[in-house]
Amino acid sequence: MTQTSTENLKVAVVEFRRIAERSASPEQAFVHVSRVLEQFPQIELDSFNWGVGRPDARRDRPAGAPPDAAAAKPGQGNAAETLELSGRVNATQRNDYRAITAQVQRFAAALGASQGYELVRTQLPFDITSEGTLTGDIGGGSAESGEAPRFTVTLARRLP
Amino acid sequence: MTLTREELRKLLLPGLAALALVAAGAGLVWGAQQSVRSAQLRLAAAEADRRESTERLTRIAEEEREVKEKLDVYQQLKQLNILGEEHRLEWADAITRIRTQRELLDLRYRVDRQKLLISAPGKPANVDFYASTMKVELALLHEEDLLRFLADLRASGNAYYSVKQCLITRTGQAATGASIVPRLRADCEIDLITIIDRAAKR
Repeated sequence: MTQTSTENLKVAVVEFRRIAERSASPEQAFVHVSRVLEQFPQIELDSFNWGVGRPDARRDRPAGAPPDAAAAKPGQGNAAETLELSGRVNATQRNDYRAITAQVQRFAAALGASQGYELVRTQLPFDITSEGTLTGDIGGGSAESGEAPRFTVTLARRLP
Repeated sequence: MTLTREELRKLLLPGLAALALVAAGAGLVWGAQQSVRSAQLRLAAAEADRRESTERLTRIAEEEREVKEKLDVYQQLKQLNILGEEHRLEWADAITRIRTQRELLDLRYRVDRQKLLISAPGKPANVDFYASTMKVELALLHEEDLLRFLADLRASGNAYYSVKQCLITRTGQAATGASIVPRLRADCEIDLITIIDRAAKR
């Protein structure tokens, strides 16, 4: 039996609860992604990168990566759960930019539409913005290697 | 009607008595009013005291309930060995046991040196929260393997397990008929959090 002061008892429990509230587990993200994937059989995921913490302190974020959702919204809580999914669109012609774009965007919208997740970024296998150059691996090396074009979707969910 | 001197003399005494009685009556009324006022003031003060005592009692009861509830959590933290020094050997035992029980194909881990997470000011001493980051590499047949591993780890106690990051990728290894080949690989970072209450006495 450990004896402590009432003050320390309170401090220990309150601070522990704060840490526990800022913690999360990837289970919910798995369930969410699985449910959405069921609606998009042509999409195949290559990687599932889940993380939690202060968005600016997210470890191993590649240089040049865009800021996460919570970082972009000042005044919100510090802790956020982020999810970066990379995958391919199968069963679609690789030069069918419009079809691939539509499928990736519908997939990304479905991911960001429930369970408190917000869509942070969608990176298509090619650049369709006016600022960019429309290039990519469509009909290029990937065609030779037989790989479907890759996309990346980033989601975030704020923790209490 | 005119009173004679004789009659006035006879009435003098009763008249004085009547005046005295009226004065006494007025005095009694005034005294009674003062008494009522004073009693009302005492009543108001007593009611205020009672209200204050009730509020204090409610506060004490609330505080007692809060302390009792926190004491339960504190005892649980103690029982799970989250409160106290790190148990690194128990962590290693738990991971080995989970790997065997879950028949995980490959599991590698590294626990970094402990670092101070938060030092919360308490009385008479601080409550320090420490974290040791564990990097785990797991070979998975299915993503459920990772979730089971994390659940088993949490259930094993000896720390609060706060998962910071998990990257799951395909191994790209083709399945062969002869042996079981992992299809996925998980790289996770988990903070193993322990608490040192500097005021705790054994």
